[in-house]
Amino acid sequence: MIKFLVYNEFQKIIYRKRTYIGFILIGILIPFIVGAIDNGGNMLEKTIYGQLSDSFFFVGSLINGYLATYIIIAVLITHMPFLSTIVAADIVSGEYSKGTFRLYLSRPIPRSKILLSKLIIVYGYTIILMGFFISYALLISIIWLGTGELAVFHMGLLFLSEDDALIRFFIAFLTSTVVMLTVSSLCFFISTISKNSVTPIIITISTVFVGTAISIIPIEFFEILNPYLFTGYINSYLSAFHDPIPFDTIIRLIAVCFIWTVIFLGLAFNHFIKKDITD
Amino acid sequence: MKNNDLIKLNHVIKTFGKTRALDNVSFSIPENSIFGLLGPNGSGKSTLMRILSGLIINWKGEIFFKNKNVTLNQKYFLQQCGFLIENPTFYEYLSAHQNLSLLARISNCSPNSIDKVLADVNLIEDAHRKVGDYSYGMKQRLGIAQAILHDPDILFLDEPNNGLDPLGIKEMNKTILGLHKKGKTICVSTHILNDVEELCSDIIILKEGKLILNISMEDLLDKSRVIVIKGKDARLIEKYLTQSNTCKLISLEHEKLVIKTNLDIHSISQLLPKKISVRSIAKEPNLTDLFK
Repeated sequence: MIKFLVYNEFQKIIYRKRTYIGFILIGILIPFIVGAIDNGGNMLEKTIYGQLSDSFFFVGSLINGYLATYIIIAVLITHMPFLSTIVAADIVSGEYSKGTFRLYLSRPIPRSKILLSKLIIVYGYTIILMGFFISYALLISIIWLGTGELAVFHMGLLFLSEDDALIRFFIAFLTSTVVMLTVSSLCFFISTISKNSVTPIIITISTVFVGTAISIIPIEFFEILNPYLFTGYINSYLSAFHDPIPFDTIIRLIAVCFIWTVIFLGLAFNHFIKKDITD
Repeated sequence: MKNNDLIKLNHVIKTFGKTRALDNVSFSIPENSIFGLLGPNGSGKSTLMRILSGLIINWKGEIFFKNKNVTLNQKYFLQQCGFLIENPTFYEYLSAHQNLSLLARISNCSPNSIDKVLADVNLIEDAHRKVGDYSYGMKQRLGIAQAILHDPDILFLDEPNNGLDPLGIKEMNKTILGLHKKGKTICVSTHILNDVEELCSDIIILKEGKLILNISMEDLLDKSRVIVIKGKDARLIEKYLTQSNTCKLISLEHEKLVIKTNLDIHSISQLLPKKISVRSIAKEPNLTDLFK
């Protein structure tokens, strides 16, 4: 039965225009950024060289597809919660507000299965969106700027070999997707208690903003708190480009995100199963 | 529970905050009946429908379907029921066929049944149009189609004529009667009294969450012929009226005479000589009176 329910949810989102907003925005924005990097590459290089010209003598160019992808992820990752929550925000609350649950929940199907099918779609959408974001950025950047060693700042300037770069981007995809799935879980939970699809987005994005502020503001209390908040790991994709890769940080990230996800989903299922549908 | 009772509700209570939407409601729905659930807006009809459909979970009391407790056998109960709850709502960006496909997949019915039910409600030619482009009447008919998709034994239709024009109402009533002829038990909630007389075999009336009348249509029509006359000369009045052979005595107590007749109040007063003192002549409360 669950496969039919998932197929139904898939059919519901596939025919909705809003499902494609994230993909269209990424599709348009990334070539612009790559073009801008190509155009302003000399200035970028001068900035990097200027800081290190006393210690190093540079031959060739640092600007390539890998560096462009790294910059694109850095620029857009904090905005990805906006896009990844588009489907999650509406998937339950939209059915309350439009009254379509009156059709769906009066069928002989446990509510837990209906909610599970929606969750599978939300997670599928988040993973596909994040995969598209990073792979599309890589594809456009490599086509436009070619490949080469990836230069990143980590305890000075770190050069990662061309062979190593793709694996690093894959790890960056995994870590950022884990965080984004937690963000989607929060949005999904809010969607089960909200009667419109705007509230879940506002609450989720506000939470991410507050969490990001906590991770930035250098106050002792926040520094103690930050490791336990999933929002503190939104930029943790960067750890994929450290040498050596800090797997202990990645494991902590997964553990923290997992705990928050379990909390959000526990609340969502508990609320949805016991909820009276009165709209 | 009588032998022919399909559903029995025992002391059903539902509260929203401090408001009692349903206050200790008990009644039975006979098999093969068209059961009218009547009451003004806010009387608790939709709440009752939502409880039966499993949309409202938190309520008190018991509901039995074929002598089985619905709460303990909800899947079985919902498999036997079709619901149209309030105004029809569909995924407007999908076609009627796609909407029914979604529901067919989770109702264990074959895809062939989609075309059949769409034909039953005269929507087969518009099956692949987006529901968003449908008129209200078409959506209402699609609502019936989704309710009968899995060929349920019993249908719950919440205000099926709401928002329809007279022609639409006629069509809908025809559809309901057609389904009844096919052996379905139908529970219709409405506040349109004309529908009741045309459709229902049994009715209940809810008012402010309370059950105020539970009667068969036959008994109700019979009751509407009952007239109560009050006056000092009740015994004399009885003598005059029974002599005319148009009235049948039901009871006579002190100054209160109860008769059954096809005459209206004016005609009865014409039968009585002017010298007889009559304090009041009134019909037993009818459906409209009870509704007020």
